[in-house]
Amino acid sequence: MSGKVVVSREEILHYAKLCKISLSEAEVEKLQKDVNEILEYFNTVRSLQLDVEPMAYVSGFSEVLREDEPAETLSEDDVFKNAGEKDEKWFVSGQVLG
Amino acid sequence: MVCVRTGVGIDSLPEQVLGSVDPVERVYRALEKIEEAKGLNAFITVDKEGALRSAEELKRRIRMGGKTGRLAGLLVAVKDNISTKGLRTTCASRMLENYVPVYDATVIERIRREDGIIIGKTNMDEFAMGSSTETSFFGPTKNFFDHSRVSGGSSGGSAVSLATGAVEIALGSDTGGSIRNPAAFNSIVGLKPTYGRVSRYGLIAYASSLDQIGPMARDTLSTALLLKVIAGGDPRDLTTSTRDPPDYVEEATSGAKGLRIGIVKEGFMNIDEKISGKVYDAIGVLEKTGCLVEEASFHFLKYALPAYYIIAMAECSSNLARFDGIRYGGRSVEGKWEERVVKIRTEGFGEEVKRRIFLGTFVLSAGYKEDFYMKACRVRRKIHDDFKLLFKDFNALAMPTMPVLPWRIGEIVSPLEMYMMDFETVAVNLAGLPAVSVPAGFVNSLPVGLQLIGNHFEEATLLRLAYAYESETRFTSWLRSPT
Repeated sequence: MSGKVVVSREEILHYAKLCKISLSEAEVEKLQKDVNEILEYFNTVRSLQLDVEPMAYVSGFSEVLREDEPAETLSEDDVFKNAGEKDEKWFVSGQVLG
Repeated sequence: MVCVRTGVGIDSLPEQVLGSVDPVERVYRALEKIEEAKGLNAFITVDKEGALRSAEELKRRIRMGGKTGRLAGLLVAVKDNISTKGLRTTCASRMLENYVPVYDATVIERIRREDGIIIGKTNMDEFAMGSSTETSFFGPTKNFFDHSRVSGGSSGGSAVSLATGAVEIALGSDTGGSIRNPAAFNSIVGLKPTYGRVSRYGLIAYASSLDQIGPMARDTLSTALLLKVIAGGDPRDLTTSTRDPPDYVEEATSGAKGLRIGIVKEGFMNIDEKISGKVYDAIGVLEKTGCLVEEASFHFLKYALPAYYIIAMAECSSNLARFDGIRYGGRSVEGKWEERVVKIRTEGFGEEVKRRIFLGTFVLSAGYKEDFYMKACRVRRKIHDDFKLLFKDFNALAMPTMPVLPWRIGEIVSPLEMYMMDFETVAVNLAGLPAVSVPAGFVNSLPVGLQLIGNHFEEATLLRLAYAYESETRFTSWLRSPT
């Protein structure tokens, strides 16, 4: 848990790939510098010892459910209105496999 | 009910509209003001046709003696991350440059139902990620008082549209201070409601457990009026509370005598004495109105900022995964799925958004999640619990809204240094509490904000304090003559 986290150039490229973002050479350098500076700051939290349960949401409610009944929804026209590319009733996404 | 700003009764506004100033005329006046202040870059999209259509319909209804809503004739500016049916909603990003929502956010439905006239969509930091409105794809919004300085952010456009007098009320969103910060920087009122008080349906998400839509205005009662309209449960946002909101306008005027205010001393550390001096003066005004003021301590406050950024970035990396250009935000690009998505995201997102997606992905990744994200969630619990302890002794807590004065556009280049600007505001979001920023005067002719933080669902208490303070200071006049 202790010790500094330093992100390498390879890790920058790996995580950028996970984010589906490509970076120029200059951007890789800048991001690496920024990320390491910010992570060092995040270390102030990382090194804390806290005996409390994590809190992901502040809300007094849990498992709010509704009846599973059909309701009004968007028209077909509306659904495709902002599509990048479409083919009749299909979104075109480009080939996924292969 | 008399509005301090205009001297006219808010409740009687529809009648006033019936008399000398008709809604169509009001829209034309607003358009003129928007044009005059065009250089400040407060609006991304001005909806002249839509506003005139709403105003004409309202005018017809008034003539025929029909029923009118609580916002009848009031002009509304809407932050550009809130979905407006048929009206472009960009999030100030190239990614959504041409995105036109096919449905209204719940808050927009409610404003339309009460006859508010939406005149346009306001500038902001891209996807609300920033503290200065400098990360907008459409260029920065300039500070109302000094055009070489930032408007604050991320709801900078909404704040400036109010300061210029173009609109009476505006919507902002606040994930880590984005309503309160620009309110402070432009000497207006901005209220971040309790998490779950206002529906987020139709708000383009940044960090879902922190995001909250809220009202902004020049005066307290207009803020209260807009909150009343937008607050309440919504079956389309299951995190909303179903408890009925009170009549905030009536509550606001019920006086602040006897309310206990805790001055959070940690909120005044490492701050320019002139700024903290103004904030202490403002708290002194509240004391004069009969509030009981005492010092309070919040040792853990300093951990709020790193915890906030870890959580906000984690949630942002997940929320912004939806922008693949396929269902919306797309341009026609060639190639296989992976190539297309990478191209669209690389070209569509700005630098700060990419940085946050990257860091969010990192802190959630195997090996780091426990150390960063889960630890931040534990800090969040501690901050929430510490606030709850303080609210056993106090009705509200007081701190500065911002640790600095509005900086020069382009002055802050380090991302980390920019994040530090949110020091005073983020703890509120982690704990899901309501908070308001009210004008606290000027230092070197630049505005300072007083932040008041309330217990969950105690917006009315904050509005009582804000109104009592406004009645003493008449701060709405400062927009014309900064003191």
